[in-house]
Amino acid sequence: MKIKLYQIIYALSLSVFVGCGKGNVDLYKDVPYTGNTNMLINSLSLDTVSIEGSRTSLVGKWSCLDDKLIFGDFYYGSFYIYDTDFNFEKKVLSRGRGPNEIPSKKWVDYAVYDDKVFIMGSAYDYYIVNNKAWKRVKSSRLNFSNESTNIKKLRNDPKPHYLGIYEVNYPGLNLSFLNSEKLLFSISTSHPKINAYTSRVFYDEVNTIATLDLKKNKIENMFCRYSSVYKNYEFIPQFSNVLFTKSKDELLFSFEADSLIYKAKEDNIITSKYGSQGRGISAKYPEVTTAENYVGIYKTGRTKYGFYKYLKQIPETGILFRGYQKDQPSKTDGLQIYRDTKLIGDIDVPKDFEIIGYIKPYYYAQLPPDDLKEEFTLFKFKLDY
Amino acid sequence: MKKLLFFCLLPVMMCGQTNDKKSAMELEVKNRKYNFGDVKQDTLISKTFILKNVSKRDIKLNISSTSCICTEAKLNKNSLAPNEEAQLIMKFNTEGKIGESKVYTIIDSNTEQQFYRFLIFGNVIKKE
Repeated sequence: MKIKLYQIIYALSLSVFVGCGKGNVDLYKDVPYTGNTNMLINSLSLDTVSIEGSRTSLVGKWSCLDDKLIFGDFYYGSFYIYDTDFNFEKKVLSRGRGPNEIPSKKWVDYAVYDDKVFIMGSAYDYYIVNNKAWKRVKSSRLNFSNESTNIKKLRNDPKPHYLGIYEVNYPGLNLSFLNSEKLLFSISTSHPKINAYTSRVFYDEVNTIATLDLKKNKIENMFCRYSSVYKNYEFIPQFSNVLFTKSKDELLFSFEADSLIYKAKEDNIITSKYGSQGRGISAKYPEVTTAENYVGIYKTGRTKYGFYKYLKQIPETGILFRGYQKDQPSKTDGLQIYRDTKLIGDIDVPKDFEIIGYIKPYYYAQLPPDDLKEEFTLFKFKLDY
Repeated sequence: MKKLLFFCLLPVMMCGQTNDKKSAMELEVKNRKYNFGDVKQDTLISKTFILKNVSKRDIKLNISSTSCICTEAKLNKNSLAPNEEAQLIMKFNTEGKIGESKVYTIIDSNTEQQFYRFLIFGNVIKKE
């Protein structure tokens, strides 16, 4: 009896105080399923626009900011601002050390929240920009070593709760503000003893999301372990990215190989799950048996099999989009549309179609740029149901 | 009064001069893309791009960044006099690569456009 009581207290203390922290506890086991289906949307009517991009590096990301569309150029260090009819208005920021400049030689991602833009550089540098004046208000650097664990211990006896073994998860980086002072970003570890290729501890115990306190400039929390689906495989590093999006006071997250979407409160406790499997996803992923040729494994594995690519919550309408790739060969990707926890649409969209945001009354989406024509393709559409 | 007028107009004159400088500086780059087609893994791709100063002033050039450690980029000159040409030699090591691949080099200059992107791309076939 004493042992049982101890186990219960231990499990509770882990889930309450550490979220998805220490120990091999299945935090997904008893999470209730609350999803259902009522298909109201069978197709989308897309307005398509091509935008000339030869003055940009074509490497970057589109977003919606107030009533504007913005393209953040990762190499040229600028934002290009367009109206909702796709007319170019102005370019803001540039590379440099002045107040309207960002010193970083390359950005890896950015996220927008109210009057802030958070920009992450490729050398763990990050910047906060006021997006009304387009002035840099903060510069700092991510630090994964602000803990007492010494280097020898990190190297020889790593534990999944040691911050020092983690790194920013490239190339599956996802950024999202939790609130005006905290930012979430995806993390991973490639430690020789804890990694996605050779160690089960990776799938059982590592955390996939970190919280950056923007006031303290400190990574203050890590959470979100791999879900139960990852217990079905030994090693599937090629489908191990976490997907997440902020929804009011909750966080919605999922994984590339998991058809379920999880809701977590701000204290990182998983409260419910929902979601339906995408069409054309067999979810029979080949297991990886070698850590050699990482790029080859990642690239070839991801082109053949269906998996979930992103979650995008639209706060203004309460709609959640989930994009996915089908098993190959397939000429289209899939897009699931959820209202609350109800699946209301699962439709075909062009390959690599990705929702970028909402400016009333339209939703906006992008395709990857055409490198040869040097142009972007954007879409706008309404949801009628 | 003349002095006052001179000082009032000075910022306007300087501004005009700056704009003239910028618009006069131009870099001619005839081709910024190279398709290497199908190659086997471990092939080293090399391509030389030409950049010509067609302005009347000196232009400074620097390699700003490359998209990957698999890409090496070298400029044979960092300053171009009018009508002078520079060579950008880009090398892409396909070791460990597979499938459609593309790499960039970004050149930073003191021209109005400031940045120029050079792209080499193609298909890397797994070696037997």
